[in-house]
Amino acid sequence: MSDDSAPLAQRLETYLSQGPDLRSGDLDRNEFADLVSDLTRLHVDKCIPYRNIVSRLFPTREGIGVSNEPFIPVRLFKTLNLRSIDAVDIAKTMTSSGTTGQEVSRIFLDNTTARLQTRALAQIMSSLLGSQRLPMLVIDSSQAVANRTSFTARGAGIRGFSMFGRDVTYALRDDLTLDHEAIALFLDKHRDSQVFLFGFTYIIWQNFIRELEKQGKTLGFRNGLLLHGGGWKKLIDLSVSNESFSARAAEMLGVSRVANYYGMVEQTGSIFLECEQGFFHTSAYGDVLIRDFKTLREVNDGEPGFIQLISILPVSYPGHSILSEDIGTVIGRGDCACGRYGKRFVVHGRVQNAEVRGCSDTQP
Amino acid sequence: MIRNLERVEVLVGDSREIFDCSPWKPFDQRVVEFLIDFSRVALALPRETTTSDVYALAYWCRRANLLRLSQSIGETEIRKGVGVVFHIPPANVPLNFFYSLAIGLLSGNSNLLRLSSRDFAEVDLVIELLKEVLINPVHDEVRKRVCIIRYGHDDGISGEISRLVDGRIIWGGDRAVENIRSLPGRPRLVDVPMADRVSFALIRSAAVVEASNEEIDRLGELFLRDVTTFDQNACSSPKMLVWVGSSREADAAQARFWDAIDRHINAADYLKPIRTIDRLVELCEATAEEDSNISQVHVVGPFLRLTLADELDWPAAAVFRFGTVIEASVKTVSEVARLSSGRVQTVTSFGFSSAELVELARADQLIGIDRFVPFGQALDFELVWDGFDLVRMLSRQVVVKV
Repeated sequence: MSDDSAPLAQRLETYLSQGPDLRSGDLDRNEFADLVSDLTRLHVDKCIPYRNIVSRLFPTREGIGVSNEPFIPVRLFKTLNLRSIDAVDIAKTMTSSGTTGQEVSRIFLDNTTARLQTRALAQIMSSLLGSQRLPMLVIDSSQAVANRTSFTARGAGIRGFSMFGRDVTYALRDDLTLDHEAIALFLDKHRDSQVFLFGFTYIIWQNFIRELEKQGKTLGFRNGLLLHGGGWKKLIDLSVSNESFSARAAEMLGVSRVANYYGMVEQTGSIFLECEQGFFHTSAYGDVLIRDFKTLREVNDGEPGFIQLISILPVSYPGHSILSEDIGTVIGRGDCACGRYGKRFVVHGRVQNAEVRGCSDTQP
Repeated sequence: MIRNLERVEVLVGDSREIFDCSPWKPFDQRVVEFLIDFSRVALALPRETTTSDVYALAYWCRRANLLRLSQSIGETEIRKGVGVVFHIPPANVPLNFFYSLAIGLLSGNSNLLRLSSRDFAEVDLVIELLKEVLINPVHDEVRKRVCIIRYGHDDGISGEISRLVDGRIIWGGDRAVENIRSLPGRPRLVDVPMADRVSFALIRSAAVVEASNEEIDRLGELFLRDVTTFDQNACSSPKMLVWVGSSREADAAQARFWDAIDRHINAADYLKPIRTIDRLVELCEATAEEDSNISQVHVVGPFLRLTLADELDWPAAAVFRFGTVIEASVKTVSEVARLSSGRVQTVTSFGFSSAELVELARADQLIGIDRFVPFGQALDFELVWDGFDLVRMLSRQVVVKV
């Protein structure tokens, strides 16, 4: 950790300790906006490519508030090495493949950012699960976390969330088939206690729910909470909506609550959780803005656009304000029937890619 | 005939017959009638099943336009096609292949045309129309002169074809030209190389200031047509807007012009959402460089205006597309020569007299620029393209003296 970022890192730690839940009076979010703006300043100072981009693409930042912060496309982490720390301070490098192209995102974490991520995720999870560690069933194979040197999004996700469980059990064998024995043993042991089920949406669907259906089995996690995320683009390809996923999961697994989370490997930690009403909510640690498909101006609530994600966690790389290729809509602010404050939003999917035309390149 | 036929998909015609035809004179009536028939069939399609580029192609092939084009060869000039022409159209401009084929036919040749493996719905549609017209016995002789094949990148096949033909028309830029030209052909083989080119728009500030509201609206529309066609990614798509006049005039003119663009663009549904991200990624990658030539980016609705540190080096910055326009200013039209290089193909202009442009075109200092056309015509296909008189290049002239 460099000396210059220490005061900001300390302020972030203090801010995180206030918890992830937005309160009714937090509409202006001044403290949050200040932190985001200071992160921009930090990265402009420390990351030369980022400074060059911001000075040329966002020469004037009129007004205050997160809407006026510069944003960079999330794809940029695949083509540029963006970091605000010296190479010797890199504690680990996160990678994510993404569904388009072979390029891989590279996210450089120092100890500070890694700690902030863990801290933020812990706070968010304890607001969901309570402060007790719950017995945890990971709907994946232990193989997914076997390789400690390569931090894939899936492995890192499982490892990160496993901190909030105890008696962590893997429901799938190495070949991703059902491990009936392990599941039965887990069920037997924790029949009456609250349990935490976690996995990637697509794997839960394809290798767990669909398999149970084929084998004509249902499970009885009456006090279970299923948290899932990532890989939902593949579910969209299969025409499985979030609603039907939730309904099917509740039916087959017997769980009382199914919650989706939305986030990016570029902003690990500050995830957005789905409420009982089926909406994602912003937290004190992050925000979303919806930008027009053509002008990239912020659109009105209720209108779809590209999702811009804001997080206060990225200190070691300029990923605090990124424009995704996901399409979403802010449905309302502070008005959700679930009682939570903040923006409530939905994610529709990813924007379609298309062939570029032009004169050059006759090669197929 | 081609031996490696099993690696080739024949879409139209017969790959042997094309080698058994004798060359015709340019604008032979049989070819003209065939193209007119094609135009008639294409124009008869219900508008909802066709696209604007199919419509533009059909319009290009109508009788009046072909008659106009045929004027380019005088009555006393005796010409014959060179023989068999091998066409290598670009993968990314779907209907370019048909214009290329039309040129080959109009210059009197038999044609072997290679389509790339990339699929475009409008290509399939035009191929079907083409077959429908060729099946008519009236066009039997034209039918023998058209063969369309499809194969992936394969120097073995391209090389074999190259040794059999009399002309090659190579689209697709520097890489394609270098690749195909590395394949040897007959001693008298004629190549038409379409290399990488860039284009810009030239606009007189005073003319914009003086124009009526209707004229400005129209100008905005035409500029949008030039820029948005093919994602601003064709060699004749304007990448730069050069303002001619005093800086005071330029300020007023720019404000007026971009305001018109901003108003029009909302109605024009040209840009796919992913392109907004694509161009932001491309611009971020470029501006991230310490020594990037881009000094500033301004957003006008869904358009991006770029200011360069060094305007002379603009062709290097002309890689941007999807509604990204470099802006530069010069005081007088003669200064435009500074911004031109051998790579410049088309200049779309507004507010200049023909005498001014002719003088500029003739100036010794002017390197490059093959074509001056009004706003809105950047992508209109002409028989003289990239500075080459295509019909003359693909035919030989016969001199008769007694």
